[in-house]
Amino acid sequence: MKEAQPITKDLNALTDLNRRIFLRGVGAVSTCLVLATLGGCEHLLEEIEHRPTRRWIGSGSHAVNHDLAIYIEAVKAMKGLSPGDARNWNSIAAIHGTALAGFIWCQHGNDHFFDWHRGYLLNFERICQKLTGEKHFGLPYWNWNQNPDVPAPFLDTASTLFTARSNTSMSGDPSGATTGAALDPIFGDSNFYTFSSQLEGTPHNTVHGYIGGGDLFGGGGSASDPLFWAHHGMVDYAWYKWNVELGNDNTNDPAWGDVINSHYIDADGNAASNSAFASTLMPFLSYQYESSPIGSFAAKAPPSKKELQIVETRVRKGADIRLVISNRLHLVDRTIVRIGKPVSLRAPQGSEGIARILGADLKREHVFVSVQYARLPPTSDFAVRVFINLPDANRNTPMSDAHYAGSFAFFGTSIQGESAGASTHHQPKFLVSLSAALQRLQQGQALRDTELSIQLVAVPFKGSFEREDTEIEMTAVDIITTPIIVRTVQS
Amino acid sequence: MAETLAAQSAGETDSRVLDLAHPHLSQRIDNDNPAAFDYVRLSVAQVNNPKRVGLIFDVVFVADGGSRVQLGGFSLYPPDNPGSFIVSTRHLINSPGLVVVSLHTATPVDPGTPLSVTMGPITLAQSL
Repeated sequence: MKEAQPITKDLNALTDLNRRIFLRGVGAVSTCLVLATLGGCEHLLEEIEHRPTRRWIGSGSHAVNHDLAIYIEAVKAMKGLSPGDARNWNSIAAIHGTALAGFIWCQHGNDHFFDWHRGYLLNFERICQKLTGEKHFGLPYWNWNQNPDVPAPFLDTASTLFTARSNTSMSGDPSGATTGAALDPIFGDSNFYTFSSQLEGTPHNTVHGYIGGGDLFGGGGSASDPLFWAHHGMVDYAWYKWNVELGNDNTNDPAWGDVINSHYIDADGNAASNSAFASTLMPFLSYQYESSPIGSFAAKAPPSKKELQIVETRVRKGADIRLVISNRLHLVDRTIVRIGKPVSLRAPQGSEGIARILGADLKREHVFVSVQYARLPPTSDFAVRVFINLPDANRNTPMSDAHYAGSFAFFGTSIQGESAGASTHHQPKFLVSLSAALQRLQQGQALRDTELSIQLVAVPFKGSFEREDTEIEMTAVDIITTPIIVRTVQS
Repeated sequence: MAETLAAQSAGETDSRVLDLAHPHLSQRIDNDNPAAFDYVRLSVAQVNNPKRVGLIFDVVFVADGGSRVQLGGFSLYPPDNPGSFIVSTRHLINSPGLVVVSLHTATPVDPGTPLSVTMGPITLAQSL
């Protein structure tokens, strides 16, 4: 075992960063994802410093060719897993969608396009690392601006990376969606929401549409094409470049950041999730990018440790946008729940608030459950799943159930005498979006406008709870609606 | 190319439906101060694309004086999925004129292939 080294001032800041972020309580972070990434406290700093590098395929470097060879092995391994293994190729692809059913859990056409796909890619990368034993493997990315041709390894018909596609180069795209002329104004836009919308609609969609067409890569089953991951590596790098290299801010609106992205599968085949806020820090903790040019924006040298800390602080703070609560339906005041027993909280029957919540225009408003708690629980080996109107929900109720809304988890445990609100940075609250589940239930006509209840079900990460009698003291549970903050003003 | 230029100069089109025979749509922009707007917002309201042909759209502004500016483009993903898209004006829409949207397919298709796209309104938009 490595002898403990004195912690330098610089490294202290990084450690502190982790503690502040993950104890923040505004968003939930999967402890499996974090611990798997960081390997425990004593390896924390070394792991961050030597986190995997996602390399630019077009560089043709020895390092990226090595990563491509590992990627081939990883894809083969995933395709060779049994159907019962949640990490098998088809199961992972189906999280995004299938050719037949279209999109399933992926986020498109909304504000969570970037962060949902970031979490999806990171968990996929972790699976590749695990199955190949290459813990420093970073997913190589296809920079379609600098290199319009589909990279050669994906065109080899004898390779596991090959699938049939409509075109093999973006150079024939009539709209020029991946050229500097198209990308320069997009990268020049400093507004997170409109940058995201344009990046998605223009180069992202057009690469799918032009290369994929009516084939696999062009439809809901696109994640079954190994090219998907190299393409989305570039999409993620585009977000990173805009945010970190070019100094633009993501929103810091909790209505965005506290949304939980879920339905991922981690390297061990377990369910995983993370908040949108947590995703903004993944490139600082879990991987890094080899920089490359996009349009007029040149590649950048890797930041120094000090530069990285300054940027991380900026990324974490985001841009100041207020959270406005337009409706609040109070479910319960202070209550103590034991994690071994699911809890069901019902809104008062006949309450006008129920009709307002269920009648919310989900195109204009977010609906969340807000769970405030007094302090971190003594154990944190579990996630809490949130269901709507499913009084019998229990730890065996799958996340594929239409009533499932999302989940949250605690990272770290309470120190005796410390309350959750002790730090000025700590807001002891989770927000879980109910919007998608409400929409599903509305479409399935499974909602009655006189009934609304929320179920909170603790589920252990690994089979059983460390302590089944662990208690969570909740100080308030509400259902809130917030307007979608950023709108465009039409002429 | 010549056909596209001719379409772009022909004036506002009546139909909101793009198809293989009529791949261009022009809409007049008459805002008082168009230079103040950041984006062109385009809405694809309905898609009939049973063969799931890849569809790409490019967006051009043609001023009344005849000058043209390529603004950008977007695509549908999956290729039968309607949606709303924005393309930056780059503050190059400075006078009245036409926004022209042109439909392209990712691969050559037979003229008889069923395919049509109904466009919603095209507007100028600002971000807050």
